[in-house]
Amino acid sequence: MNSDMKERTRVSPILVGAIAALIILSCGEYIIQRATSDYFQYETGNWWQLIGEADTLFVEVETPDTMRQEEVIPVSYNGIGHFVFEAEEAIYEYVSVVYNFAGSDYLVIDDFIGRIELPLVNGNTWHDSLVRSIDVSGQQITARYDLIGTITDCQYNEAYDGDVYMIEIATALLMETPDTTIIDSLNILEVYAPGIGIIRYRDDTDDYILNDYQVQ
Amino acid sequence: MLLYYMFALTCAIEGGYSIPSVGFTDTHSGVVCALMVTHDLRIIDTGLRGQVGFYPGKNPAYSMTTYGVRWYVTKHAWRVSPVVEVGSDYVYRSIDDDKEQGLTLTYGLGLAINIPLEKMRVYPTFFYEGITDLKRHGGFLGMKLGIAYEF
Repeated sequence: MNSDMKERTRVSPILVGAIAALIILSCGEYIIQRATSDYFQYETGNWWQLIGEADTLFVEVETPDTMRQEEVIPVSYNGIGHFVFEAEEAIYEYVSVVYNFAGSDYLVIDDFIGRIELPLVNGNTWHDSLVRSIDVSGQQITARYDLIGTITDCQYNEAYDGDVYMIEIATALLMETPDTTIIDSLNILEVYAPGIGIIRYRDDTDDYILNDYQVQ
Repeated sequence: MLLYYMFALTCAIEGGYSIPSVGFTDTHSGVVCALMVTHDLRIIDTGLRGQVGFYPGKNPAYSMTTYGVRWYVTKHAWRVSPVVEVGSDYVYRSIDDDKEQGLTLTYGLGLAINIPLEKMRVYPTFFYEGITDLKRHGGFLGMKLGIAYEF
């Protein structure tokens, strides 16, 4: 072994060690955890108990059902069912808008809307809308349901040992009849942790933080 | 060290197909291509490989791209030679114009079938490549075809 070779063999382990240490110290983004984790945990029987300032929110995944030829997962928020299904590009939620006329209900919107675009990537914004008109006793009833979602933040949360995503969802319903216009809007903030699911839910009434949960 | 590899005995180019097999559920199979330099250390051959991988998402707006450097050990003189490698990838996940990125550790095991053609060598390689951020890990199974030229 000549002197040049000896020099190389002496330097190489130090260089390799330094590079390895640099890489290990730099693995702080948890990009693989973000890319491979399930943030939603929609398995039947899973539940989350979230505590607000004045109220408690109990979220539970119920037995799958079929709706509009689609297998949906009922997710109950304090007993109020939300019907969702997870496709490759988004989590869709069932939306129904009903118009009451002379004591009878008429279904104006009966469809799925893209609620959360998948996979989760920080900064992503999506928009989906449902528009439909029906004729009720010679009157045209038009409903438009819009949803805008944004992932506003993604950062490491020590309590959940992973990067958590903060998602803001704004919905707006506009229903026009010949004599009235109904506008209804809702702003929701949801935070999801990898392998756990929802850890925070904020709407116009309260801000709920995860207290207890069970996921399979 | 880089200069040492720049004056290496063998340069090669590789291209192939990679299937997410562990962890990645949001991407389809992708393509990888690599440039590499190898040095013959008599007992083993060792080298550096610069590799790019692209994986289109099941959501057409999504994709994952990896840029990496790996250090590998193999034995080109054998007809069938194992390949062991470690390195690092910079991973980009993007959906429309929004991106996330992070540095990862990679490790790989492969089996190359060496077909010598005078100064050239053609070698199909079957491999498993693991990738981790030290929190979670994923993996890819794939096949590459390499063409090497010995100086």
